[in-house]
Amino acid sequence: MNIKQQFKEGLVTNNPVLVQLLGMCATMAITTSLFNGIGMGFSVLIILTCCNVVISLIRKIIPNDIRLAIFVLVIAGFVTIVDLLLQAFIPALSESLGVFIPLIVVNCIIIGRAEAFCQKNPVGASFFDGIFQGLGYTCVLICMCVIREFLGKGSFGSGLINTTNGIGTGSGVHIFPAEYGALVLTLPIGGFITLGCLIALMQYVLRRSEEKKAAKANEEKEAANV
Amino acid sequence: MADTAKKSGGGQIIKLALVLLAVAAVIALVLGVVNEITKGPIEDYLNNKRDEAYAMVMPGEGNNYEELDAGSYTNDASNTITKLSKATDASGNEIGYVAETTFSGAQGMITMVIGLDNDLVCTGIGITEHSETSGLGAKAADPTDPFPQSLPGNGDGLKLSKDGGTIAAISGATLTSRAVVTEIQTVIDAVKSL
Repeated sequence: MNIKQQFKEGLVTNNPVLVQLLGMCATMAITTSLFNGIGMGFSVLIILTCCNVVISLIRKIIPNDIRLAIFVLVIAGFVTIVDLLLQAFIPALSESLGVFIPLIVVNCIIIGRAEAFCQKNPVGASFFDGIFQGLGYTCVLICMCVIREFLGKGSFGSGLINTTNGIGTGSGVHIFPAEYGALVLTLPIGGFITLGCLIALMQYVLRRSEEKKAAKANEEKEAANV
Repeated sequence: MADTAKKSGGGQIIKLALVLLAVAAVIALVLGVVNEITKGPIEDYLNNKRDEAYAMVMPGEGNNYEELDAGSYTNDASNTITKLSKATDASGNEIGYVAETTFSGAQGMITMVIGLDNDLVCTGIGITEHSETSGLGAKAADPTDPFPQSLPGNGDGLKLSKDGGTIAAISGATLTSRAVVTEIQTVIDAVKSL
């Protein structure tokens, strides 16, 4: 499997959230501001990449019977490391993501990739798989954050732009006053609606491109027959 | 999977346990090192936040806080007051009381510092930890929001306007507002019982 194909899979054709439908709980819960989305996305990206590399390294020495227990141990280890580092060095992020950082332990993207990819593939491929799947996750989070923040609160980039008192305190750019926003979008129900729309859009795009491919293949076939 | 266990019996199980133990030991070692590195900064941050909250509810330089014995005041049923201190200013005059409290909000536990002056009137609140809904209950932790700003000046018997008092709740976050107001009353009761 080459890198280019892995890149395309992670971001589009096998996107962890929009196609594999993994890790949706945290996706809906934390995508209320751009700061949260980027923070969560990169936390998952780093943990996923580290776990992928380690699991791929030890894939030949772990007994099959207890592989899941070992995957969970490795994942929990890295999540705790990231959690402690965030608390110590980016406390604002740790506070706004709250319990969702420790909950990455049970984020099915990570155990899913360990089970489906790393235990069968060499370290290099697993490393890139971690990066691209993590990027795919981050992109979806950013899309959700931008949509929900704009329609719900009328702002863009809160936590990141117009920083007044250290990272995470920015009020963002207000495009229209917050009172006119649809508050429902910043609530959990808005997470469901936004995610549903994004999944529908993704499926539509994927299907269109498949149909186009099929049509092209057909044409070529016919041309060859003639 | 089941047939591997059947084949080699007890020896296999011990081998599995040893592998698991080895992995766990390596991870524990790494976590220990990380904890050692991050312990200092995390503690500094929490202390800073608490100090900021104290400064917010009891303005003035050089205040002293003398912790009161937990047995000397009445706490509520779930012991929400974790620390109650008498505050004195730099020249030794009594200026009121500061309580550190932990209680349930709408979503999870809220940790809050509450200040009272000598007449048991609230001088302000500072929420240091919470997990309330962003955009609703979380407003209680934002010192610029009207709700926390409306609290100073309220004394014994304070209530939300919904419950027959005068304080307007955060719209959409009655539970959080009620929990905060109830906790202030708990602290007032505790100081009254001294």
